[in-house]
Amino acid sequence: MLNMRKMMKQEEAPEPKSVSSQIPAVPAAEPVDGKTVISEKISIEGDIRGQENLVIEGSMKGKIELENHQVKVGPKGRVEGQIVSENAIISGHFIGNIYAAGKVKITKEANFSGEIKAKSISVEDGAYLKAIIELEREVKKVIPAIGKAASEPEKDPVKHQMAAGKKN
Amino acid sequence: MPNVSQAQVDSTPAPPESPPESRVLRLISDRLTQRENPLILDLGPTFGDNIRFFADKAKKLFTFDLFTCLDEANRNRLPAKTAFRFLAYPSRYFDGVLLWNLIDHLNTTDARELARIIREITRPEGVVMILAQDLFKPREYPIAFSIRDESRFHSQSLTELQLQAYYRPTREILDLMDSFVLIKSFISRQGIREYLFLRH
Repeated sequence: MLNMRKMMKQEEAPEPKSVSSQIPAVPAAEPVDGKTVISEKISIEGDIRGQENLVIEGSMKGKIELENHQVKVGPKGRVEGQIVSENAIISGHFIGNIYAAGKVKITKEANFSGEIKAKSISVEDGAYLKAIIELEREVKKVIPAIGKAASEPEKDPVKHQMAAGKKN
Repeated sequence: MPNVSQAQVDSTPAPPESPPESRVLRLISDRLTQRENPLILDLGPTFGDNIRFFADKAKKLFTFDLFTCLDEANRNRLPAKTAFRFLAYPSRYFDGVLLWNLIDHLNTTDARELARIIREITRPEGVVMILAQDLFKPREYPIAFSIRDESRFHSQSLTELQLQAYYRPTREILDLMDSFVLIKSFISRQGIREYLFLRH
């Protein structure tokens, strides 16, 4: 995979802004005290549940449930599965879904294929991201036009196409 | 008589000129926010600001970097259609498609095929945004656009992408998109052309 970060040269904006700095009122997605580390030479297949922050530098296949805590997939980490957490930081290879009550951060080293549901997201320029992103948002009232049905048919989720687009 | 104080030269360096506000960006934002639970497809390179901008307006934002896929196809001497296979979305699915300046890097046959696919996956009354480089002063290398200040496009060079350039006059772009209706087209002071199309 080509690294878009190297490809992009700033032309007209002298000082690129940090994307994450623009998202207010969301807890910072940074490690706090107490964490478990799955190191580079460890490989896990199965589910993980707990009440502590988790850093994955190795490989992991399965579901990770750490409500109220943070999951970080480091630059050398490879995860296939699902993350349910407060915050998530993806810097490595991730295929699957993330459901975060808070913030998801995708760094420029990341290779992400999957779905993200979160309160907010920050993505660094140049990350590989084939994703469906759904942010928590205020319910907006749309006044239907006269003569038009008030509701539209339910849209089916598109998940099959995500699998087709996996990149290694 | 001129005022002396006014005639003094200001020695402070002028701030870098911001690109003008994009009118098509405002127009597509207005259109999308009028839709209920809009689904948006972004086919441009990954820029955090673009993702944040449209994710805030979408029920779901689908991101897929077709620029990089085209580059990989070119490097492997594969046809552009190889990259299009990733656009396997349901028919009449999206309320908005962001094509950016992709058609600047597709030959006419491939650009027509992409327009056909985009029409297929866009809902009736859905909109498609297209940008095109300045026809008279095109860059020597591919560029992409990132949104700044919620209203402006900043161009960024994609110096390492191997994408051939096919810069076209507006009438050829309209011809490629003849299965859509042009809502508005604009040209910025930088010469960047902006188009918003409607799918019937």
